[in-house]
Amino acid sequence: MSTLVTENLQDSGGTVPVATVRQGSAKAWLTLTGTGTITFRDSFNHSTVTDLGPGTYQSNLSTALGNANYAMVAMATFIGGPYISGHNTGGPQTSSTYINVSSTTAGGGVDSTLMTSQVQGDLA
Amino acid sequence: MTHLWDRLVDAKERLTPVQSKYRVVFEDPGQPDGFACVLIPDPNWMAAALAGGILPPVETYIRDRDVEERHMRDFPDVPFSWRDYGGALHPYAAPIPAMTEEEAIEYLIQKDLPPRIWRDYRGNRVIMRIVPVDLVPSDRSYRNAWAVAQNPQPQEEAA
Repeated sequence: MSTLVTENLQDSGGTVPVATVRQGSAKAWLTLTGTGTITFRDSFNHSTVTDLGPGTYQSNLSTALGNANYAMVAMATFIGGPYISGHNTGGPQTSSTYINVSSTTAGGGVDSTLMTSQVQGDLA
Repeated sequence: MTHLWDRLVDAKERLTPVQSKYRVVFEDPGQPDGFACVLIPDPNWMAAALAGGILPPVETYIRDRDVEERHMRDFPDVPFSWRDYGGALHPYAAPIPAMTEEEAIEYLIQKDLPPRIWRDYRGNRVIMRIVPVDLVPSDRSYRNAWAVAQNPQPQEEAA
């Protein structure tokens, strides 16, 4: 693998520091089939997902985040009604995230046909 | 040493994901009324494990987890930052050689499951099994009732 050492990237619109590109990149993401046999569709920087129960997942990262102040976004779909996806109130850790999917109509955790998440923050 | 995240970027570019044929089914002894959970390996991670030269030793993850858990126990109101502890070990640790899929599953158990499940449990109940993915039910209607089989039936051998 070749190495290009530089501080700035440039296109027709101007220059962007490499640090900006790195900070702006998602540090981890995943797309999951959440019904039937739970499987990864695609991902980056994850080692496993733990199926904790209906609509509840713990995603475990390969490279930890630098601190507990990262930002996480998750979305989910399921057939049959509205959905809510959220972050576990147990508190984030730098090496794993929690995702809860629940329904405004059914209540409680519900499995989603498709679940995605993305994490932005500093790396350890 | 290249940062682990950068090695994973490179690995994702050149390696084909490998869907594991195993799952780890476990119960948490800290929640005796709870139901079984399932650990699902990431195909991109599995490809990196089988290729070798990418992932750090699992001992680095265990050490880093101990550091973070100790902070959360001793300073629950103080947000955790690796900068306060001189950085994590696993991002810059020298990578290990290629593993078999079975070794990779054992690595994941140590990395992503709490030690109270795979190391410290002393009860009489079987609380963890490595199973073929086909043995995990695809019908999740009674997901809240799943438990680790204590006396599983032997699988029929292929003719």
